[in-house]
Amino acid sequence: MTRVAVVGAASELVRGRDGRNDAELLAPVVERALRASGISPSAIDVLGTASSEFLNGVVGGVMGAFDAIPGWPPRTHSHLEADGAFALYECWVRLMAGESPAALVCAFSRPRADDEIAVLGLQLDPYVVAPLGPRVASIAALQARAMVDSGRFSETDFASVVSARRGGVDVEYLLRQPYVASPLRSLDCSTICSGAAAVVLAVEEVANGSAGRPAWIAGIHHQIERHSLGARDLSTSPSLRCVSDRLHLSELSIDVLEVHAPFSHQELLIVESLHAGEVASVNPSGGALPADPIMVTGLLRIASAAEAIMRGVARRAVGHATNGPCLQHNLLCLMESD
Amino acid sequence: MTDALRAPHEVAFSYKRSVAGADQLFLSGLARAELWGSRGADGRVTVPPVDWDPETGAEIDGFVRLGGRGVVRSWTWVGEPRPGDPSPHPFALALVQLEGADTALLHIVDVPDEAVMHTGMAVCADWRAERRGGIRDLRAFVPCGAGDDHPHGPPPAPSPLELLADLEVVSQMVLHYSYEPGLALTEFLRALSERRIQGGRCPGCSGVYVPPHSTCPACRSGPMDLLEMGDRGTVTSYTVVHIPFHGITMDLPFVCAWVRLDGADVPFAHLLGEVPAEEVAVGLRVEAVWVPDEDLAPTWESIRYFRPVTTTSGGATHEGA
Repeated sequence: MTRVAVVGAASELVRGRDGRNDAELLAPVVERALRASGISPSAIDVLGTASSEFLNGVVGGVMGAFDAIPGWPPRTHSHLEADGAFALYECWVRLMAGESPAALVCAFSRPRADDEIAVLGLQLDPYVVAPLGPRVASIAALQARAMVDSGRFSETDFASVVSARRGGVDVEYLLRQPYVASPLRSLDCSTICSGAAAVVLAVEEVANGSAGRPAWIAGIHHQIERHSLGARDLSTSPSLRCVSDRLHLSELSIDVLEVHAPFSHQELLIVESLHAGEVASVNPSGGALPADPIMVTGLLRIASAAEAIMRGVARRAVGHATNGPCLQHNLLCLMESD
Repeated sequence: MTDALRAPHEVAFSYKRSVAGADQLFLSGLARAELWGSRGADGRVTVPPVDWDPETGAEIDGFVRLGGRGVVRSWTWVGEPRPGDPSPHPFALALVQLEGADTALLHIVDVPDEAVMHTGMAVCADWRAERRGGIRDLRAFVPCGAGDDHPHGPPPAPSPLELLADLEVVSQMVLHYSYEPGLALTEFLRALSERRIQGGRCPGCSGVYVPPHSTCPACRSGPMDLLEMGDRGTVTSYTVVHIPFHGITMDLPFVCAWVRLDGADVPFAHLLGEVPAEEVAVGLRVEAVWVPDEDLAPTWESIRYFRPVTTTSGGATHEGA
């Protein structure tokens, strides 16, 4: 069976608004990822893209973004309304099935709603949950509270994550801040921004001729939990545990772990649920807390983990991505150098 | 660029959802101030009820009625309610596990102060007087009175539940966005406000696009070389619109056409005017009819429509009003 590797990656985060549209944001990122891979666009027969039109409100606007990806001759193209990590998974399946020697995965995000939190409410059950109008931070807080009540975590633990991801902000200072949705404070919640990421995948014979050191995908898997929040034990993540077991992470030592945690407490729950043998470094990229381009954030974690291998600073790295409220859907991508 | 165009933009997500199965049963129960769950093959009771076990796919054993008393399993505080929230004053959002249920229901707990809230507290359902079969028929959970098992609702009784027909869950979400066309389209739209139509020639494949793109859709080369296009072109396809719609500016029937300007390689969509629909044909030569100078703005609407070429000199002016 063939192997598939990440052979190029690039990304850009944008604070505020610089007037560019989706294509103008994505095109230079795609260009850099392709250049980093050294792979000719003609080898790419499979494209996977991800974004959400709910975020910028332009119905059908996603088509404009496709100026940024190789358009001619026509290719197999699949667009997901999900985090780009799930587009990467689909492209990996297609390459393993022999559909193409290489694939390009991209995700882009320009949240432009006055109330991004209301947009995220659209993903909730429309019959018995959405009519209550819960905010995303409130839903996440139910999970944070369940974690505190379990006795395994404390608000000080949450603040320690915030401190680590937000440039060493003093933990005592953080704990004095008011709640936005108890037990969460505003800095426990990610800072939403714009951004784009692109990843080039290639099968073994192409990857071995690529520009740099390939990050071989040794395993990739995802699992989803029930959508009813009250039917889940929110203080645990059985889906993540299942994926981790499938990839045998408990038997492995990991140099770099990049986790997609839009809330501080989720980073703790993810790391605990992975039950990995030994983890040298968590989120050296900074993680999702200081910069969260929704729909890009998970792909960015995989790209960052892969880049650690491609740069030679890690031999084994794991990228995590999530979708849905309270870590409902989790994906892990295990990558190794030769 | 900081002076790129931006405009307010509103999208309404207005849906009426019909309900069936377990959802219909649950909402019908709420209209009678009753809480219902489903019992799985493993004996576990799920609230709100489901039709199939989400983990095994097994059909459920049946539906069971539960009392209005439960325990808070997790909660958070909503200190600043927004319009449309379930309570106008601060409240707790909570997962409440009803007695006899194995899962928790998301709802609110109405207490005056966050300090009253704690995980494990006993709460009871408090119903609205007017109920229509929706989750908000249950006004809130409130702390139970001491020794009072069912102060706010009827006790469970094995009365048959009649399903309400024509139940609908209505959502009226309106989201406000700011729309940003991007750098290339900003230049194009600004040119329209000066009575100019801008095109772009791809430096890679020489294709001419109207409007210009930042990156060539075919070969990804860029940036494009900007060109001043004339306002005459050819109809490459068209359709006759007979159905009125929101925001319509033309009398019915009218013609929407693809117009390829002279020198361009791709057409754009615009309106045709001053020509009966039956006289429109692919290949028709057309020219732009601009709005009066005082109405020019960075929008396609600066061109009122295209009409058949009637003069041999330059561009058409605002004659067709």
